[in-house]
Amino acid sequence: MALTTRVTVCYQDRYGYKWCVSFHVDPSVVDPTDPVIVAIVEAINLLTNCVNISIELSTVTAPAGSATAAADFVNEDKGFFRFTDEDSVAHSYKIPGLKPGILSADDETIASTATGVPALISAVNTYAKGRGGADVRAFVSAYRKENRKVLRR
Amino acid sequence: MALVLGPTNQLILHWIDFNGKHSTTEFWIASSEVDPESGAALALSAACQAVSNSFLFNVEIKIYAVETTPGTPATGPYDRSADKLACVFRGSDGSPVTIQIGGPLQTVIASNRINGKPGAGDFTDFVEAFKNGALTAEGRTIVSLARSYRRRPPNRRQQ
Repeated sequence: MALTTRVTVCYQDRYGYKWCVSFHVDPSVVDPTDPVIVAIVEAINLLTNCVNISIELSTVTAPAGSATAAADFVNEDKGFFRFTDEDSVAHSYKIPGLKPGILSADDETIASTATGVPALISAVNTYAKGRGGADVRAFVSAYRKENRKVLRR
Repeated sequence: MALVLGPTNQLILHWIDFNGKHSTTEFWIASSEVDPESGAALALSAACQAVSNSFLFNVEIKIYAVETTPGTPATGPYDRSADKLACVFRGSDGSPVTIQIGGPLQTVIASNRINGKPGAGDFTDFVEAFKNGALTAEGRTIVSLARSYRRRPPNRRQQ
């Protein structure tokens, strides 16, 4: 669990410009309407000419480990996984540094039955949503996508 | 304050490959999912890690809320976002914590127009609220306000 929850509060002045202030609170605080956050934000509101427009909370965890050395694909090589939600709206997820074992013989297509892929599809269909809350429901296809930058001289 | 919560939370997976290159994968998940170590975050991060040679070094959940009735910004001598009141606090381990409040009211600036005025009622209330609720980045308590001062905006262009 994170040591803290980071809170970012954004304000806007009368000229339309925005500024944000960040602070940390106890990691158990994960609700923007928590009294701890509200007390600080309301206190800031009384010090400024600007108005509060939004609050963003960030909580993180850091697993231990390291990347596989000398892997075939680096982060610019993505596994591109396409899905649709309950409203048939398309969603795609790019997972970097894909394992070569999930690629088909053409080295481009990702087989939906390759090791680890069915579990990924199941997790996305179970938990992922659209921005507005529509459930992601159906896997469409997956393939390798490169985004290597041209090396400059 | 009248806050409305976002319909979903954002799950961000931070990756690093063996060259040290950073990359992210983003999902929207249910607004009830707030723990990066369990539920949707755990299932999606484990499933993604299983198909990648890069290392998932950070799992982050972002929770959003919007103020529905923000009101109208006030006018005053320091009403621009670029005008800042910098407040330097001390954590219990001595580390400094600085936050900068944009467009400060004239009532919380000292008459020399340089320093903050911690004796002002609203300023005192803010310092107490911050000491009671905020922590340092390392999770230590905030123990005191060390100093406060006004930061002037960068040079304006010739009008």
